[in-house]
Amino acid sequence: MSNLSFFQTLSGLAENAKQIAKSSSLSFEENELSHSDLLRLLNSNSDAGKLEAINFILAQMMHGENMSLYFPDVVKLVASENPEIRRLVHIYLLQYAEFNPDLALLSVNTVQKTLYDKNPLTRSTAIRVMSSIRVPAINGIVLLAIQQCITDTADRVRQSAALAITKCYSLDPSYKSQLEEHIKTLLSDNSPIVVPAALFTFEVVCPEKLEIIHPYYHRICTLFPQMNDWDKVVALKTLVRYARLTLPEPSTPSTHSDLKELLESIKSCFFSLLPSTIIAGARAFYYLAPSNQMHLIVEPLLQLLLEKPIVRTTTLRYISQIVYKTPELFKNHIKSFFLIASDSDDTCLLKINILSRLLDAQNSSQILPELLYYINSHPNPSVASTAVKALGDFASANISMAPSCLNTLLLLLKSHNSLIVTEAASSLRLLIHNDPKEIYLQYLAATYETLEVPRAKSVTLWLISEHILIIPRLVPDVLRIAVKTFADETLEVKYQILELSVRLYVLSHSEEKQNDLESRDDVVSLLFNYVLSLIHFDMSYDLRDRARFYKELASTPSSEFTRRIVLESKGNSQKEIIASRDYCIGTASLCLNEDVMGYEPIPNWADVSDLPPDSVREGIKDVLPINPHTGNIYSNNSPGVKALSSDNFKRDFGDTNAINRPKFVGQQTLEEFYASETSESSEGEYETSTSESEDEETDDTSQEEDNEKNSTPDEDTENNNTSSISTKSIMDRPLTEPEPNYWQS
Amino acid sequence: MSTIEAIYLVDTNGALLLQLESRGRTSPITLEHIKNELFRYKLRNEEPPFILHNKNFLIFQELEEDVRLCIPTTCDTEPLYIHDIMRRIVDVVKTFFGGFNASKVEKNVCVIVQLLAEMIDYGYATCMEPNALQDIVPLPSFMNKFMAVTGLQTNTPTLARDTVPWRTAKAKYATNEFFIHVLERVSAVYQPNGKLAFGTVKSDMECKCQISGMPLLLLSLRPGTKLGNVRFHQSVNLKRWKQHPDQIEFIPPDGKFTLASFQTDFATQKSLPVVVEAKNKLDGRFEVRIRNTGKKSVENLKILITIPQALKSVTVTEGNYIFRASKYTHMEEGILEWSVKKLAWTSPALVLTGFLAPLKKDANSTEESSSYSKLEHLDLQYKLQGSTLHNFKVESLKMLNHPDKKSYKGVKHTIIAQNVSFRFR
Repeated sequence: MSNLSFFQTLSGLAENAKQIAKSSSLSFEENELSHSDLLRLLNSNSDAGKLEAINFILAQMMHGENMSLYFPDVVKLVASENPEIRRLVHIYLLQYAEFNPDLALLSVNTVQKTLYDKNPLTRSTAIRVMSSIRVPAINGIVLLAIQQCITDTADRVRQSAALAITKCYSLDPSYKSQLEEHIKTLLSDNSPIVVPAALFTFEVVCPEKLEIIHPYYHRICTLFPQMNDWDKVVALKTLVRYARLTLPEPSTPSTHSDLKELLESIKSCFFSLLPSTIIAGARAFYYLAPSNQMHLIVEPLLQLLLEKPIVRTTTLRYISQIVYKTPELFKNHIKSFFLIASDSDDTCLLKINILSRLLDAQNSSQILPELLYYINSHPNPSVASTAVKALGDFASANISMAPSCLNTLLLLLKSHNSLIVTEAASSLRLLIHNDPKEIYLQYLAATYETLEVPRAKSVTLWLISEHILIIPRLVPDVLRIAVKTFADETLEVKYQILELSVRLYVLSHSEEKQNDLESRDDVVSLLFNYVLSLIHFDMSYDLRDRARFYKELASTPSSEFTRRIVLESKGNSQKEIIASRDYCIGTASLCLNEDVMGYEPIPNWADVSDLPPDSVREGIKDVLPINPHTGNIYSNNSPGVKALSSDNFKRDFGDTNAINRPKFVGQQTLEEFYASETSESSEGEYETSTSESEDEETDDTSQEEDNEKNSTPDEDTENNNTSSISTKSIMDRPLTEPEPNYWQS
Repeated sequence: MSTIEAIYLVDTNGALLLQLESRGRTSPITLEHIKNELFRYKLRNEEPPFILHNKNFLIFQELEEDVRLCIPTTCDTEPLYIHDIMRRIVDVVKTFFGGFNASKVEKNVCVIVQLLAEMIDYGYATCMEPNALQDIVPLPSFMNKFMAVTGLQTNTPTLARDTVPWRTAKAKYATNEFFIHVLERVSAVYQPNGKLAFGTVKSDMECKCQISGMPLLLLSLRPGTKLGNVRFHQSVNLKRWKQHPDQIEFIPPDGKFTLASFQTDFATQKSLPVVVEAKNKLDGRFEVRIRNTGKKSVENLKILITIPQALKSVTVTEGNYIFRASKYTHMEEGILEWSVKKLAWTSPALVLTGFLAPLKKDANSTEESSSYSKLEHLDLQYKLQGSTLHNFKVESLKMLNHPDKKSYKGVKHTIIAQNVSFRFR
């Protein structure tokens, strides 16, 4: 910024240019203007001076300073002929007008006059500014301006009029019925930038009146592919809701033709470079398409996984939601969810959860090696433990695969990563309990002493106490080892030690059943009493209370009451299902996993009996462009100006029926523009680049062949090494069994 | 409904650079809340999440260079829609001022606010095309200032007739030129035996158009070319492409833009020229060897190795290395970064050898031998100019509405290995 008023004293243009070049390099801070300077400049005759002042005021305003002091002087500039000054004054006006309603009224008249300007950009700005001032006193004037602008010849002006309706409504909802009529007029427009703005306005003013859309439905479907990417996102919000509430639910044999038409138009979203447009299209297909067309959303969504991190994470959340219900959609694209180097921790967790959902017996040979790699090598403990959980869930769901996974999980109990051990223990609890085998329980008993993670210890003790009779000779020794460190254990483990000791005591003192425990009742009694005496001085009152409870029960170990309470076996455990709220795809609520104000779920498909007849959508298919000689004051003043239409914006996609195609007159359509300019001449080819490219391809091909030959001998070796899931790896490990005569001494 | 309440630009110290309220007056509490949230994360030395949520409103925020864009909404909104708007704002500001940092924003705050006012009307995206915005708010330039000062010309913007929204009608060049740059970004993982486990190539056709008037271009690919999973700039005639998948017809916007983006499975493409062998050896020793099997030199190669425990020593045959501590500060782990400026295809393999320090012994342990963690994977990053992975070839570029003009300047190719991992043996 520069002090341009200085140049008024100079006479030569060259000198002016020289000074401008110098002053352009000055920094902003060196041009502080005092209050009196600002007032002087604002009231000067020089546009340069006014610009300098208004720029300074706006810069301060943008930094959060209160610049309302200058309102009377700035508002006068709304009449300036300099477009930059007007733009800046408009921005200032929107900020402070509602605090100076009387003075703002003075500017409205000036802005209102520009509604009749020949320049459509000026008219568009006028309706936008008038409706944004938010002074209730002029709302009636704004309504008149809207009425005028919705039939303007320029679609940019009509778009601004549509948005003005939302502002007018928010200021005074009593105008609703009139505004609805204007919305209908705008919905009948033939411009791909006006109709989505009208739909946006519809959602704000009268979203409950879907019948307003009926006559224009086919037109909107035709215009949809021609809308820009931003407008498609907005339009689909309304169209999805409309389809769910007014069209019958599709099934594979039959889909309503009106729904087919919409889905065909929506396909254009998948060619967009804008992630949000692709998401909007995928969302629409997910909630509207019959199952045999659902696969169309898969590859567009997967493409977003290589975009920026925020896009990647958000898309994975949506895919996770879809996979939870329809995993078969993505079963052919498993590798898309393998982790890559730049994935953030959030992304990694989402991908593994998706892999867990996709994992089945058919594709486990692909996925399990990757999961094992993440378990063993991922630097983030949370990611590794999530992979362990995925492995455990898979084993629970696939009985035939359980043994292999189970062996791996048992080995994971020795991991240095406590999160991994915790997750492995949780999975083992379900797997072993539902199908207890002696070999596994023996292994757990043998490794108990080496465990450090509390969860692993408590799970081991729990499993052993539930299945004492399977390994009766080992259990007393496990209890002996456990009580040695009782004082150092967490509460979770202490509970299990108490539980194990009382079960063992009651079983060993049974008179009804003869078993191997009988010969050790003295040792078991000693251990049990020792546990009780340790707990007697424990810090936890709940643990002490429970111990007293068991002590009383144990005083009569043979009674039916005691046996029923202490020895009751727990049934097979089911994997607990984490019930997360079913949020709609494409919402912040889904990303945050909590209700956000304004969240609206997708409505259910309407009952067939509630559907309107198809004839309601047989509206006027062809709407002629606005007649320049009626309904527009501007056009009367300049009858020679041709009407601008949206024909040049038309980019048709899909098989649009000729019957539904709107007929345009006047301006050439983009399609016709493309078609009429076909060139018959041919240009010479670029020989040099062609030959270079061919040479390179040849060399690469031969190198690839060499690589393949060299790598062949290694394949067999690697295949052998790869088989890390093997029963042998656990069976070969010796299990320690205490000598029976030790207890006799 | 997707509605933008306001747009705030804040610098990394929490100072407000720009605020524009687009849907009536927002509460001063909103801005105060934004500052408090950002400050809270700064105290914890954490990057705040994209979505900040309290009971009354959502705040979407993202850091670009040293400026943070914050957009509050009071309604549930599609997050990626807000993100796309943020990206577009950044692109427009960069188009006008060459960058998006605090000093540039502060210096040009008045022009930026004009741009934002044209882009967003009452929370609705009305004019998001850089070309169209340049027509409405002229680029700041010496000539424009000179004209304004002397009053020789009133530069009143107007809507041009017979135009498309993404193209300005005012483009004039002495020489018509059209440049194409194909960027291929590789994401891949290699098994310890050197085999490809999985990978994807994302290709972008970055174009630069310096053609006068309103050109209608036809880009012809090699006959039979099929671009899988392709996405196009909205200027592309999808109907023609659907009928002739090797022809792309479009009216280009002026300046730089992305014409198309497509994605293919890396397994179906040529191999990368750089070959890596990564091995764990005995007693905490590890070795990494890299070779260039291509026909071109590779420059600015970088290898990142995650080290799970302390390093004792490292030696390299060429290049520099640096060890960075991990973000999980309680661990001894970190990342070893090896940089090589140039890897010629004729040079012998480059070798990095390292030794891990022994793990700290447990006082109660009776083990005599030390134990070492195994390295798991390394990440490879580099750029390779002038090479392509696809059988992708531009046959010709014609101007359909001016057949006699020649503007095609050939295609430039770049391979970017940015997510390539090799797993240790």
